[in-house]
Amino acid sequence: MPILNLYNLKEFDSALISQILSIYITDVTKDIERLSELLKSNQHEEIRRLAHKIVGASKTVGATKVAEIAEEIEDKAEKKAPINDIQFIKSLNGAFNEVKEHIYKNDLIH
Amino acid sequence: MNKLKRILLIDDDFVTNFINENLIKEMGIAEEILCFKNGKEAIDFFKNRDSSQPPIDLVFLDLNMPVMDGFQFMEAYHKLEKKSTSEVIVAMLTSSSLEKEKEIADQLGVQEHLNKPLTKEKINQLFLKYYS
Repeated sequence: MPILNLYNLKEFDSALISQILSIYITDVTKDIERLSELLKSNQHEEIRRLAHKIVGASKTVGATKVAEIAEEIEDKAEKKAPINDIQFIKSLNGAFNEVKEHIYKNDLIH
Repeated sequence: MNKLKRILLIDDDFVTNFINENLIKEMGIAEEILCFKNGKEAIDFFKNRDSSQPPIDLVFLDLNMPVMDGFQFMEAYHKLEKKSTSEVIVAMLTSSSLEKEKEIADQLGVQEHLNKPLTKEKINQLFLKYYS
């Protein structure tokens, strides 16, 4: 499974894709930082909502691995299950970094 | 394909609204596209518009949003709609696939359930069903 599948953005030219990915990186960077803080405090409803937002944005741009990990966090928060914050944040950051590397390596933001 | 007057996009995720707005623009299916970041912003817009403004034909609605979520939006919208004769298609657009949420959305009058991401194909199917 590719780390970033741009199929959903196929209607757009490279300038618009560049703009979309730039907004995605800025927004999700902030969201993951906030989520890291929330995960330490077990605020399930806030965690669920923010994880859901990351899922939506990531599915829309085609960042499937980021979406999957965020969906797992959302699911656990929904069930008010214990969340291993260190493990999840590490996985989420890892997947998100892979997306960013892919974007920069392929010069998708210019 | 007939061109709609107005499409509303209601989602707290800026990336999703931005992409969907550009997708709809690219398809040329609406004269105007309006974006709101939660249900309350959209309800305020419904409350403040007057009959001289173009009608709203279609709403893409996220469910999980802060301030006012999609369910609360539907409840508030139906209270307002009693005063209006306009027919608006509301399509739920979410990354959640919980059956419970779909059932509640159905009871609240959501006509369509769509999973993110919104695509040209999904919009075309919606148009075939409601506007052809």
